[in-house]
Amino acid sequence: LGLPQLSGLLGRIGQGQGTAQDLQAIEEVSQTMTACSLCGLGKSAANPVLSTLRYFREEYEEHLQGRCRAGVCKALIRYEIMEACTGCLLCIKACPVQAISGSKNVCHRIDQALCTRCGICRSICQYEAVSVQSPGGER
Amino acid sequence: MTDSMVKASAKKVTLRIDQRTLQAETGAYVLEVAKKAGIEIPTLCHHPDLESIGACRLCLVEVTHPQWRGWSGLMTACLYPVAEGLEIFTRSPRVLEARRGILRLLAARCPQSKIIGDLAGEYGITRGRLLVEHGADECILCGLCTRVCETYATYAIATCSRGSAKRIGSLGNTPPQDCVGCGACAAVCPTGNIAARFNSSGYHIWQRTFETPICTIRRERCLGCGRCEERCPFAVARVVLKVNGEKVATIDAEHCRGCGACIGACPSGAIIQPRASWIELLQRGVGLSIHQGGTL
Repeated sequence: LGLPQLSGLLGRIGQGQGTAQDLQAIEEVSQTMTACSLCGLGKSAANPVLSTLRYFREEYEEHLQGRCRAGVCKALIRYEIMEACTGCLLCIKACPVQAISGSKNVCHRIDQALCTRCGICRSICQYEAVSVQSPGGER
Repeated sequence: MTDSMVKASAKKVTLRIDQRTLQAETGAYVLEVAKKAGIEIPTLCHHPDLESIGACRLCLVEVTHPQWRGWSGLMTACLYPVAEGLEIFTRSPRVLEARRGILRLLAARCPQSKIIGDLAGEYGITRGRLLVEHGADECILCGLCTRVCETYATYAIATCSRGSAKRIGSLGNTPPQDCVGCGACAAVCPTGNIAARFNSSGYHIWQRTFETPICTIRRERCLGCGRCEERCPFAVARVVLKVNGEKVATIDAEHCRGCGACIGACPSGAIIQPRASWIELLQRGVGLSIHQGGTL
């Protein structure tokens, strides 16, 4: 009963729909699971959530504000092409949804409406010109 | 039972539940002892005739012992055997908080369930912060149905899958082949989640239909003696007085379970089951008293 709740609540926070109430609910459910589960697996299942809450609470709170510091939660980030772009066309070829436009030797541009945040352009770029941005900071 | 077992089971221990000193036999569980003493502990997955598995977690109580140097733990009362000197609290703040947490989770899983709604209301839980599982049924996976099926019937249903995908049913999500349509699972289900329907076309459960051979009375042979009424375990067979003073038995097809007890009781062989042959009835163990008036 507890794990689906935790997974659903964390998913909501990851999608940027989280509220401060969700954080409280996560704490409550984790405590209930730790106190009341039948076996040790259930009692310890909430531990990863509890320990991340203890050490990275400010990251949880940032997610509530719509920022993902690690650049992982797809709903909270976007990919941008920076000045360093040489116009090599590599990312245009690699993009699975043809979201990148541009021509040779001209700085490329990502259409945010089409982008699925898969990150292929970032991993393929030879010049580290693709950056992950989340409101309030880049990485 | 051997003599030593008799001696062991007759041995009494003294324990305290909610400040009351109680005597209990060794081997008994805290929940039974508390219930006997009139101490209410909520539970959904306990049945006195079935082995407890502590699935619903609602009967948590705080257990401690003078020798445990202040340590106390939350234990399910249905699975905790009594021991000499135990001190048990069924309504301590810690227990109540744990029960509230469990009820919050249960209420989020079964928002429509009346029994859980009532319990949640009793513990002061309103629609909480938790996500309501949309499209979820009322099953709390307490395992009462599988236990009753395993113990008293054919083990036709079991828990399938693990974790959040866990459900009750048969493998492959098909109607259970071994089900005999006894309906015990529907009777024990605390949330009434197992749909079972009985009508004149049969008994419907687990997407299967079990044709029930319904007893009917041949008016011309009925003596109006009332033996069928005495014997009917479901109080369906009745003798009625007709307008002309004649007494005739009737059997309501809607409620007849087709057990055949009345057939064995009838002295004139007036009751038959059109859908079942005599051989079938004999195989089902119906005690037939065949009289000269009845034909085979």
